[in-house]
Formats: sequence, structure tokens, C-alpha cells
Amino acid sequence: MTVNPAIPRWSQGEKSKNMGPTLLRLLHCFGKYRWYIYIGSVLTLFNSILTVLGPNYLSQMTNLVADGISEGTGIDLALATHLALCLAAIYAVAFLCEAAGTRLAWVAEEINGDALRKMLSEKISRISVGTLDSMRPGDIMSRFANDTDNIRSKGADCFTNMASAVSMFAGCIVMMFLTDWRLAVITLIPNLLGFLGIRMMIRWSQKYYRAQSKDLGRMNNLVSEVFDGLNVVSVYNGVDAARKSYVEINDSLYVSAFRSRFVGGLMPQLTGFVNNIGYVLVCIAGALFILEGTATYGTIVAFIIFAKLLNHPLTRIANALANVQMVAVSCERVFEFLDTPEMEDESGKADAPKDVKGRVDIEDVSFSYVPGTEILHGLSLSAAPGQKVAIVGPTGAGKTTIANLLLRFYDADSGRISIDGMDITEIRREEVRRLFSVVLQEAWMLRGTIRENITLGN
Amino acid sequence: MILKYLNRKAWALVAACVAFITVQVFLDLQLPRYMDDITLALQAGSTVSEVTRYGWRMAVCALLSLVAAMGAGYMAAKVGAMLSKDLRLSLFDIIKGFTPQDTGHFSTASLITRTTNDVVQVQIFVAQALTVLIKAPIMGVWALTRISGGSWEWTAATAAGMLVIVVSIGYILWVTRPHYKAIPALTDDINQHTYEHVTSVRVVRAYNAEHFQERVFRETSDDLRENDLYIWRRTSLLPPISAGVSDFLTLAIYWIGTLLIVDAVGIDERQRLFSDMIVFSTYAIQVLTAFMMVTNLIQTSPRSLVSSKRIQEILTYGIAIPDGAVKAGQDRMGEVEFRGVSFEYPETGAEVLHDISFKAERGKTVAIIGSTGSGKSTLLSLITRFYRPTSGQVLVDGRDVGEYERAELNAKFGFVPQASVIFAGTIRSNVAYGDMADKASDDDVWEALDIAQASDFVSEMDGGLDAEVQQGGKNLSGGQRQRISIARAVCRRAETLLMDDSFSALDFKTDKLVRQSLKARVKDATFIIVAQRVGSIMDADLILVLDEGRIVGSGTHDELMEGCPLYREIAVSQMTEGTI
Repeated sequence: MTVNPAIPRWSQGEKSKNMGPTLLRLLHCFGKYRWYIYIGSVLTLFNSILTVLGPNYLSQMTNLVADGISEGTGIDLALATHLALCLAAIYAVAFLCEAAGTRLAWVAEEINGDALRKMLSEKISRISVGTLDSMRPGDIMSRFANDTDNIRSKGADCFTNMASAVSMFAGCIVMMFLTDWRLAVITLIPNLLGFLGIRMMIRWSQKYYRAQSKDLGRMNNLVSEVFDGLNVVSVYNGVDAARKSYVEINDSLYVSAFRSRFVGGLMPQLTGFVNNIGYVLVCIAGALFILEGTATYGTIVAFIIFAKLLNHPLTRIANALANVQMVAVSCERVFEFLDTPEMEDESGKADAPKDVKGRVDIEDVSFSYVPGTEILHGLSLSAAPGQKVAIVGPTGAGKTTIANLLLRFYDADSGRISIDGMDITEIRREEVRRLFSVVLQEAWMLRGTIRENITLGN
Repeated sequence: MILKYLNRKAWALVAACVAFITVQVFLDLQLPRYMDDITLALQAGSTVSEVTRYGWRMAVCALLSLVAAMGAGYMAAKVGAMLSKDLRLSLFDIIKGFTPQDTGHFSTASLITRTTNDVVQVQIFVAQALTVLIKAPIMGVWALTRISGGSWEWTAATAAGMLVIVVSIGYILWVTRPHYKAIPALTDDINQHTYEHVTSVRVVRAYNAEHFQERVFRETSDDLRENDLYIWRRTSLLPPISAGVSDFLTLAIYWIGTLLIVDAVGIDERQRLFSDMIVFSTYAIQVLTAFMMVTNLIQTSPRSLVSSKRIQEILTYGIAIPDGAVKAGQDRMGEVEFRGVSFEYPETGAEVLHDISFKAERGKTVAIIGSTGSGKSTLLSLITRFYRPTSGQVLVDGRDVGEYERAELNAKFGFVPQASVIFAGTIRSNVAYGDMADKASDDDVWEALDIAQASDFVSEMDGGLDAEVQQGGKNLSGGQRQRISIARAVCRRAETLLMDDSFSALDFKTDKLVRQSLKARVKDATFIIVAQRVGSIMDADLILVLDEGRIVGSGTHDELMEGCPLYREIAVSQMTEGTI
């Protein structure tokens, strides 16, 4: 497959990332639903705090029972009941917080995904025909469907999940230091090292995710071209050549998909390892402290629970970070389209005159689609109201170009086109177009009814 | 199931994955045992060196577990990638044989999504499912064996926890199922509207229909949003339910344990219950975790299952027109004959052609004219076997077209469709296309361009034959695209040229020049030309006049002017409009 230089650079998947600002901008897109995210984050934060308190009550209960057995004094059932009820209440509130927080976040994500899609759709109308022609429909479609879907489904990881994981992590650290600072430090060391390892791995995997996006885009372009022109491809036995390109892209996609999946999947494994190492260190150091006589079995049991609890936010953060970068790549693709230079804003320009007689003057107009290849050279012509003017010439002479200029799909490089003496560049585009009825060279049909195709919404 | 598309190598990888995961689970469950050993050693009065020796063993265990996990992840990723690669290839190999009838059955946009997005969905799911479905049962069963000695109250609590999860997930899946099914169709719609807007932007703008387009898009997008919201509002209950069940289960085990201990008699019995309680809570959570891994997977499955179904619909689809087996051999004459051919479109059942018979002899030109909707293009698509006649026979070089092998039949034709198809690439890759890509020399390409009256503008293009052409030929004018399309047919040196209204975008002068040079320089070829303009076909050897699918006149121009009122009508109307 030949690489088409007209493909905008952003579809080639090469670009340095700017994750922070991109995500801030995404948050901004949420509009008033930003508050869903904020409230959802606060609720999941409550949930984390309550969850971290849980082991404390459980260990109190355990101690109560253990002491009762070892000292032979019997168990204070009333106190045990009280502790159990407190814990039940805490868990109930934690459940409600998480349920509400998750729902708010997910609803906000969906609504934002929808908003992004619509922003993209409205953007099309503000980009010039020439700019649109230089893009590939397959690539644009992929931004509309895949990228917005990606942002929607993984966006929660960027905000609410991250908030809850970070707060849980912090809560665990506080509780650990309150219990035994030596064991706290020993448990934290592998966790922090593991965290750094994960950060490195994310940077590594980003490369592969981008390669995968790029291959998918190429696949989309090829497939849409071949399937669209299947009749011709088939009759000319072009299928084999198309298949060759397809196989080439498919092979490349195989490699990039495998790598991104493998490297992405390594992260949870790494956190599992970190967790195991933390467990080992707690056991060994705890045993040594017991030999020294500076720790009790109770402390070790508590730290075994903490080491498990720490794993949860760490896995979540690792997953979230992996997803955040995918979201960032998708966001950038969406924003890039949204940032495509627009046509000049014309809201300040005039309406078309009320009673248009229909006098068209083209004066000394020159125009080129590509700089250096001029299509119209100082063209002048006039059409009086009621006159029928035909433009004749061999193909490629610039007949369609004149229509393109009259309809302001493009604006002339020099010279002036006027209707009833009014320069059309002084009139808003849609007002200019309102003055014409056009039958274009190619018959385009939109899917829908005959009526919709004829009225086109007017 | 989609898994049957896994090849042998993939199954070997799956087996390796099972082995790695078994090792990993074993090592993970081994760690607490060492802890037990340490505790026992401490109580028996041990030394620092004994504790550190256990420590080393634990560290080695943890490291080996990481290696095993990485191995399993490697295999799973490989299997997922292999499956998706094979699926994509199988899909392409089936779709490449599609005729318009098959394409119409699915729609082009849907074929595109199926080969791209749907395969990605399946790939992700398979890679995930592979590790989870292997790991969860191993972990769950292993942990269960350690629980089995405990009191029935604890087991009952664990069972109740599992039941809550099963019921809630089952309920949520049940109510959201129809909404999951709707997602792919809605996504197809989004794609369709985007594609339409982008590709028909000139029409849309010329009629100030941007707002109409945006409204249509917005409505579709709204539908998708409402559909998704219905799913997410309900599914968002699952994570809190999972977390809640494991919290409450732990609490329940401790509370039940406390009550049991209070009721128990004797310190030994109490101590046994106490240690049972701690062990049980650990393993119960492990069983629950294994269980939740599976349910989480099930939760993400509906969409993947829909994708997998959409892929299988194509893989198991029987194409409408089976291929023949006959090679063309040496007798390539360029003779086309219709014998009593009638045709109705399979979808609508409306008869488009009725009892058509004619014969195009070698080197002759047969033209077909008629009003729009008279069946002209359909007639051509029966020759290329895009459709099969409902009755009667279409013969090429004396054989029914259905008997030929597809590639052999194709090689007989140069085909110029009504709407020019231009591929991203260069002028050369568009003219010397398909089976000519390696055969045609630069001179051949230039000659074809020359015959199609395209050499002038091509030589002015930057790069000549290597000038870049955009997808759909957007950087060419309509007439230029049509001439490239004609040059492609000429370059093939086929014995029959099928031209479907292929002079429509050319001015009369170019039209005439193209026809003259075709006649003079593509000798011995048979031409079957569909046309709107009498002027384009006046000199044909045989002209068929089609009206509502029937031949209402056949003969030369002069004969028809004499004997066919419809033909005379068409001719006169075009003459008086000042054609000449």
C-alpha cells in the first residue's frame, strides 16, 4: 500500500503525548456533568475511607475473641455484637457511597461520550471542503465511533477510580504507620519500587498502543476502499493485490496487538508480585521482631491484611494508568479533529440581499487548488438576470471549479465574484448557497426516504 | 463458537497457558503455608537463620509465580492476536468473493465494522477470558478443598454470598440483554451518517443541509446514548455489589465464628474454632474472588458475543453465486450471447429484464439504450456474473458464465462502471490495476491513457504516471476519473469491453475522440456499451432499445430510426436539444 502524503500527520500515530492538559480538556468537555464526576469522586473517596476502617473493627473483634479464649474469662458478647453492628453500618454506608458514586460517574461518561460525538459531527460543518477532502473518511469514522467509545468506557479510570484508589492507598499508609512504623516502611518499599516499575512499563506500552491504533486506521482505510469498489476490484482480479496489502497490514496488526496486549497485561502481574514480596517481607521481618520480642502476632496479622488491602488500590492505579494513556491517545485524536482549522467565522457578515435579480459577475478570477497549479487564470464573465449561460470546455478545463467558487466551497485567490454587484465573500456562505439550486456532477443519495433526499431537511 | 477458529498452534499455546497458570496458583497458595511453617517454628523456639531460610524460599516462590504469570500472559496475548489475525483473514477471503447481492445483504459499512471493530472486541475478550476461565476454577477449587472441614454455618454464609452475586448479575444481564444487542446496529448507524456527511459534503453544503445532517446524527447519537444509559445505570450496581458481598461475608464469618465459640465447650474446641475462623475467612474470600473474576467476565461478555455472532454470520454465509470450475482455455473470442434471459432482483422480486435474447459477435459493438430504470445496467451485471438470471442463459464464448472460474471469467472483460472507482495510489497503479499490475509496461499504460484521451492531463500532472491519486480520485475531475477508468479497461487488453454509461462525464468532443480511438486501436475487441446519448452509439453494429426490461427494438441506427418509435423519440429529443 502506498503511503498517501495527503493523510494528515495526526492519523499516522506519531506525536508526542501531552497527557495532563489533554485530560484537563476532557474534564472541561463534561460541562455541567463535571459535577457528577466531582461528586462521584467524593463518594468513592468516602467509600475508601470506610473500607480502610473495616480491618480495625475486625481485628478488635478478633482480639476480643482471642483474649476471651486465652484468658479463659469468657467473651463479652454484647461488645462483640456492638462491634459487628457498627461494622455492618459502615459497610452499608460504604456500599451506598460506591453504588451512587459509580452510577454518577458512569452516567457522566456516557453523556460526555455522546456530547463528544455531537461536537465532532457539528465540527464537520465548519471545516472547508478542501480540508475535508484531504482527510480519509475511514479515519474520521474511526474517531467518531472507536475513539469516543474508548473515552467513554475507560474515562472513569481517569477520574473516579483514580481518586478512590489514591485515597485508599493514602488511608492504608496512615493506618499502617499508626500500627507499627517499622513494618509500615518494610511493606511500603516493595510497593513504591513496584509503582516505579509500573510507570516505566506504561511508557513502554504506550508505544505499542499507538502502533496498534495506527495499524487499525490503515486497516480501516484499505477495507473501506476495497469493499466500496468491490465490483471493480473483483472484475479486474485486483483481489489478490488487495489481499496482499491486507495481509501485510494484518501481520503488522498482529504484532502490535500482541505486544500492546502482552505489555498491558504485565502490569497486574507486577502488582501481584509486589504484593507477594510485601507479604514475604512482613512475615520475615515480623518473625524476627517476635524473636526480638518487639512485636506481637496481632501486629503481623494486621499487616498481612494491610499488605492485601494495599494491593487493591495499586492494581487499580496500575489499570487506571494503563487505561488513562489509551484514553489520552483517543482524546488527542478527537481533539485534533476538533482543532482542525475552521472556515472563517462569518456571523458578522451580511445576509444576501432580499430581492436578488440574479446578476452574476466574475471578474478577473484566478484560482488554484494546489499552489503552483493554477486552474483559472484571470477569468471574467457575466450573467444577466434571466440569461442562460452555458460553460463549455473539455474535461479538466475548470468548469466544476467555477461552480465550486460560486457556491463558495472554495474562495478565489484573486479577483472578485459578485451577485447583483455584491461580493459573495461579503455574504455568509449559507446565504450565498440559498441563492442557488445545484445539480452536481455525481448523484449522491443519502440513506433515507425519497422525501428526505429531495427536501434535505429544508 | 468462535473458538473453533483457533488453529492447532493456538491450542498448544492454550495448553501452555493452563500449565503456567496452574504453576502460578500453586505457588501463590504455597506462600501462606510457609507462613504456617514459620509460626510453628517460632512456637517451637527457632533461630534467626531458620526464619530467613523460609524467607528465601518464599521470595523464590514469589519470583517464580511472577515468571509463571508472565508466561501465561504471553500465551494469552498470543492466542488472542492469532485468533483475530486468522479471523480477519477468513473474513477477507469470504468477502472478496462477494457480489453486489451479498454486499447488499450486509451493507458495505457493516462489512467494514465487522472486519475491524468486531474482531477487536473478540480479540480482547478472548485474551481476557483465557486467563480468567483457566485461573478462576483452579483457584476456586483449590481454595474450596481447604474450606471443606469447617462448620456448615460458614459454608451457608458463603453460599448465600455467591447466590446474591449470581442473582444480581443474572438479573442485570437479563434486563440489559436486548439493549446490548442494539449496540452494533446503532454504531453502524453512527458510522453510516458520518460517512454520508463526509463523502457528500458538497451536496449537503450546496443545499444548506448541514443542520439536517446534524439533526439526523444527533438523533442517532441520542438513541445510542439512551440505549447505553439504560445498560450503565443497571450495570453500575455490580461493582458495589461485588465489594459489598465480600465485606459482609467476612463480617458474617467472624460474627458466626464468635457465636460458635461462645457456645463451644472446652478451651481446645474454642481454639480450633478460632483458627478455623481465620483460615475460613481467608479462603472464602479467595473462592469469592475466583467467582467474581468469572462474573466480571460475564458482565463484559454480551457485547463480545454480539460481535462474535456478527463475525460468524459472515464466516458461515453462503455466497449467493457459487463459483464455477471451467478455465477459459484458448477459445477466448469475446462472444457474448443472451438466450431468453429474465431477471428479477432477489430482494424485491420485481422483474427487471424479460426474455432478452441477442448475440454480440467477436469484434462487434452492441449498444444498449433506453430510459433510466429500463434495466440497462442490470443487463451488464449479468455478464460479469454479479447476478444470475432467473431464467434463460448468459453465454460467454459459448459457455454459460456460471461454469467459469471467477478469475477466468473476469479476465475476459474490461469493465467501466457507471460511477468511476479510483483507488488511492498513483495513476499507474490505477490503470495497470489488478492482474495487470505486474504485466503492463510504462508504454502499455501510456498507450491505454492515450486511447482514453487521458495522456495529456496525466503528463501535466506532477510525477506523470507516478502522480499521486487520492482515495476516490478526489484530486481529479469527474471526466478525468472516467477516462482513467476507461484506460484501466483498455490496458487490460481483454476481448470484451463492458462500458456502463461511461462517457457521461465527457464532453461531446472528448466522447467522440475516445470512441474513435477505441474503435481504431482496440481491434478485435467486442464492445457492449450502455448509453444515454444516441450520439455515442450511432455507429454500433447492433443497438438494443430497452423499455421496462423488454427489448422493443433492435438493429442499426438507420433501421431503428425507421422501425422503432421509442428510439426515434429518444434520438429526436436529443437532436432538437442541439446535440449537433
